[in-house]
Amino acid sequence: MSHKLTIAEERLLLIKIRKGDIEALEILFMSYRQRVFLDAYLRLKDQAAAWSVTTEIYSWIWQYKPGLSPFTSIKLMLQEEVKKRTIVQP
Amino acid sequence: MDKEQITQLVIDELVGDITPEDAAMLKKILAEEPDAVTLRQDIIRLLTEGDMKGALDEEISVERALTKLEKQKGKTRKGFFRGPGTFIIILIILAATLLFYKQWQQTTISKTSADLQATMYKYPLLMFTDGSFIRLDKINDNKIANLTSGKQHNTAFIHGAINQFEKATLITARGENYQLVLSDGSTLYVGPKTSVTFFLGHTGPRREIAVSGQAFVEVAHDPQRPFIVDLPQEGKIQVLGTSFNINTEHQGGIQVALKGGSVKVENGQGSTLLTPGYAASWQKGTTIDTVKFDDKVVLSWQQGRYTCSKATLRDLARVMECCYRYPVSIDVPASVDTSRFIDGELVRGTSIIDFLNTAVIFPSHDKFKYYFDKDSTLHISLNHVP
Repeated sequence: MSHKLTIAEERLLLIKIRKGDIEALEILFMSYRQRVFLDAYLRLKDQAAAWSVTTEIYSWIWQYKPGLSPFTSIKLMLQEEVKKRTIVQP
Repeated sequence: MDKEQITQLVIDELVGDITPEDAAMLKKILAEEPDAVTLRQDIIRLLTEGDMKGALDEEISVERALTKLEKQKGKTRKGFFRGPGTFIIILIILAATLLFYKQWQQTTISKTSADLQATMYKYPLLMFTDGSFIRLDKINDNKIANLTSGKQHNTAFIHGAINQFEKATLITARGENYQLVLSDGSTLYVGPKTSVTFFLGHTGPRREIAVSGQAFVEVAHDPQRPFIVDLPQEGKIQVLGTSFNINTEHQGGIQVALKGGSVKVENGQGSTLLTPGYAASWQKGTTIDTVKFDDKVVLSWQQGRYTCSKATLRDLARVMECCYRYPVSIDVPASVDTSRFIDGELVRGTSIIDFLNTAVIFPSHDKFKYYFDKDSTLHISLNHVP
C-alpha cells in the first residue's frame, strides 16, 4: 500500500525535486504511482499505455522541476497530467 | 457530483488513500445516487478483473518504473560530472561559502530544506519558494530586512520583500496561535498547524493570500487593490473591506464566518455574498450553505478553546494538535475509526492527560488506551479492534 504523504511532506518533496533530488522523485513515485496508473488505465483501458503514461508523467516532473510550485497539490497536479496525456492518446 | 469526481474518489478508495471526509462523502453519494453505485462497481470490476487482475498488487509495476528512474538517475549523475559539472561544483561551493558567510554575518535563521522536517509544526516558520525558511520564534529585530517581530515572538510584521522574495508561507506550530501583520496593514490571526501563503511587497495590483487551516483575517481597506483569499476545493473569498474567520477543516469541509463588512465567497459550484453574523460552509463538490453562526463557538480558538463534538479519534487528533504541542498518532486503521463517540472541550494550558481521563466521553473507559513515546508523540489506540 502507498505511504500517505502529509501536506508538509509533499511540500518538502516538491522543494527537494526542484533542487534535483532524485531520491525525492522516487518517494513521490512510490507514493502515487498506483493511483496514477489506475487513473490512466480507466481512461485508456490498456495496461501498457497506462504504464507508459505513468512513467511519462514522472519523467515530465523531473524535466519540468524548476517550474514546480512547492505549494501545489501533488494529487491534483498528477490528475491533471493524466487527463492531458490520455486525451491525446490514440 | 460529476462522474470524474466519483471516479477519483473510488480510485482513492481502492488504493487505500482516502481521507475520512472523502470516505464519508463517497458513502453519502453511494447511498443517494444509484448511478454512482453502478459506476463504482464498473470501476472496481475494470481495475480488478481481466488483464488488470493483480494490478493492484504494487510489486508488478514498481520495478519497471524504478529501473527507468535509475537510468535517469545515472544519466543525471554522469552528465553532471562531465565537462561543465566540475565547474558547477566549484561554483556551488563558492556560492555556499558566500551564503554561509552572509548568513553568519547577518545572523539570520534561514536554513535549508534538510532542517525543515525537524522544525515543521514545532516552531512558527516563514518559508520561501526556494525551500529556505526562517524560524520566527528566533528572529531578532533589524537582522532581517523587512521583517520584525513582536516582543513575545508570537507576532511578525512584514514591511516588504524579504531576501528578494515577493511571496512567503507562514506555517504555524502545534498548540499555538500566531499573529501576522502584512505590508498593507491587514492582520491575520493564524491558528495552529495552519499554512498561509501571502504577498510580502505592497506594490502588486491585488492582494492575494491562500489559507489552509484556521485564520481570522482583518483586511486593511484599499479600494485600489482587491484582497482575495484562495481556499482548498476551488474556494475563493473576494474581500470588500472586512473581518472574517476561515476554517478549512470544519467538519470535513470549509467554513467562512463573517464578523464585519462584506465578502463574496465562491467554491466552483456557485457563490454567495455574506452579511455579518453569517457563515458560508461547504463540503467538497457541494453548493455553499449559509447559516447564522455563534461567535463563542466559531472564534473561541483564538482564546485556545476547542470543542469536539461527535468526533472520531482522527478528528480528536486534529483538534488536539491545535490545542497542545504534542504530535498525536492514531494507531487504529481508518476503516475502524468510524464511531463518532467523543465529545468534550479542550482548553490550551490544561493537562492533556486530564483531558483524556475526564473530558473525553467514551461509552466505556476501557475502550481506548494511550501512551507517549520517546519523541513525545501521543499514541492513541483502541483496546479491542474489531
